[in-house]
Amino acid sequence: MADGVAPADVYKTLATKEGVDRAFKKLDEIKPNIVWWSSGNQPMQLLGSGEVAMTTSYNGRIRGANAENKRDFKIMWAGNILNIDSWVILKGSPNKDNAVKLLEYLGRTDRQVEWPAKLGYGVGSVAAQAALPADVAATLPTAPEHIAAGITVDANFWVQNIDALNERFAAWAAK
Amino acid sequence: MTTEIKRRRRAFGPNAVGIALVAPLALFLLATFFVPLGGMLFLSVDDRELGTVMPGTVAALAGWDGADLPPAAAFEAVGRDLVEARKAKIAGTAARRLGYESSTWRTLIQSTARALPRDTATVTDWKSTLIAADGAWGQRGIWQALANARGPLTGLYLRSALGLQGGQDSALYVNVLARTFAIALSATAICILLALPAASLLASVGQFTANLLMLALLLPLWTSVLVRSTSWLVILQKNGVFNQVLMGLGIIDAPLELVYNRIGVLIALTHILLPYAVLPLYASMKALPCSQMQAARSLGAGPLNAFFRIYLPQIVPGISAGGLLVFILALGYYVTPLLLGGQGDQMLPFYIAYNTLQALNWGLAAALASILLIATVILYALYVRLVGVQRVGV
Repeated sequence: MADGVAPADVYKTLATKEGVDRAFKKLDEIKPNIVWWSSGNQPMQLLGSGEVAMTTSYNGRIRGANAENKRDFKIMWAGNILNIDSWVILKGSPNKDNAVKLLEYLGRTDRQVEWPAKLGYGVGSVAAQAALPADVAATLPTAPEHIAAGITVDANFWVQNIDALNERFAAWAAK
Repeated sequence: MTTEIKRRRRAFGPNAVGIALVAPLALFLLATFFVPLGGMLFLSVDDRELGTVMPGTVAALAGWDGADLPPAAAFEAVGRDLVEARKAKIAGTAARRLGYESSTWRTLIQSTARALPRDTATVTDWKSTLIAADGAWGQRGIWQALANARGPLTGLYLRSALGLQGGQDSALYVNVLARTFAIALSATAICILLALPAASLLASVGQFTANLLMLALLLPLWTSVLVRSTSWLVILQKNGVFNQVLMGLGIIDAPLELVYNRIGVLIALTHILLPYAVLPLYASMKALPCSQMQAARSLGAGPLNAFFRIYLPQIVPGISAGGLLVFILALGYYVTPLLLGGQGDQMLPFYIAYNTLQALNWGLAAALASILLIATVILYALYVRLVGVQRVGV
């Protein structure tokens, strides 16, 4: 996206060899200035200590840093990447019925609208997003204008390509 | 009463008592060290994954000579295996394993498993069905990959780790191994250079001062590695204590880049490992009577001459023991480079953890661990040969 690919074309471009080359070429440009992070609390530390000028981060961490550590970090939503977490019921689970009931309960709109105030992350249903107060809704990655400004992680693409791309990335990063 | 005990002791014999005393430790080591070690070594060549998902295919390809396309029976076996695997939702395992041969095969296995009819009774000609699902089944490539992956043993992971598998990025792990040894060697050299004067001071001062200094040396050793690495991060980062002091004193204008690079890793590694170098050196210096140096000087040797010809040769065991200890410990450091290094300063343990936890390629992780282990043992053996076993001091 930093190289001018429209959000809708990101995975189409990455599916070709030329597209991947293009992505790595863009990474080459910024490589000397990158500080890598591996766990979610690091970006806020790096930003807070002035080690870096801008960072990628989970949006809930930014809200947490602003609320609890009195920071004033701002989010640029252009080119954001939306990832959706999933609940899983293991095959043969002894409490399958209760688990399904829990998921039904968590999925209700009146339960969903409580998440953002507690965690700062988005909600799992369109109805819940619409039912939120406007000022809260606008801070979430699931706000329609934020979804339009970025991409949603394409799990199918990654299942097919993750090994090859990981290998290339590891070799590129280690150079 | 005493004769009773004596008789019993004779019955068991001193050996039996000795064995009984050592047995718990031996069993503990066997269960927690040698068995996992063997498991890891085996995992690096184990290749039975495909056989559990596609048993028919593995059996059908056993007699294939690889010269031409395999017989029709092999096509049928692949077809039936993939339909079954898809029903059991384990086709991904086979796809992943074949993806290690070439990433194209991963996609091929998944798309073929999806494309095949669920009801195997409707299929009469498996060969044309497979080729209709994807033309690649009509070429030798995928069959060669299947034959390579049929197990039960493989050299694939070891070849990948040693960069012999081909592909543009194949030298990655060889470079990382070289980097691992380079970082460990640098840390060892710095540690020994710093430890020599420190140990010499410890050995020459009075008992009370020596105890105090020893406490200062050992205190950090009792602190967690994670805490010490993080502390260095706080001190060395761009707006950290060190840079602020230097800038406040007007020595530098812009902050020095001391973390997320090799410098940060070496500073922290040296600090963490220094006690391991000082202690053996201190022991060997303490055993050396200071009258020897005085004797050397009084017999006409200059200070440098006395140091290099009398002092240094006698503390070689201490240097060897400390150096070896630091070097081998440094090889396995994971968290320090992770926190203080850049992507280009990560050592082999980082890639072992990455392949174990993120890429889930346990075969490759085991191969990397085995290679690190074997390389270390070889280096140790070489070192012992060069220095002589009685002078290594461990």
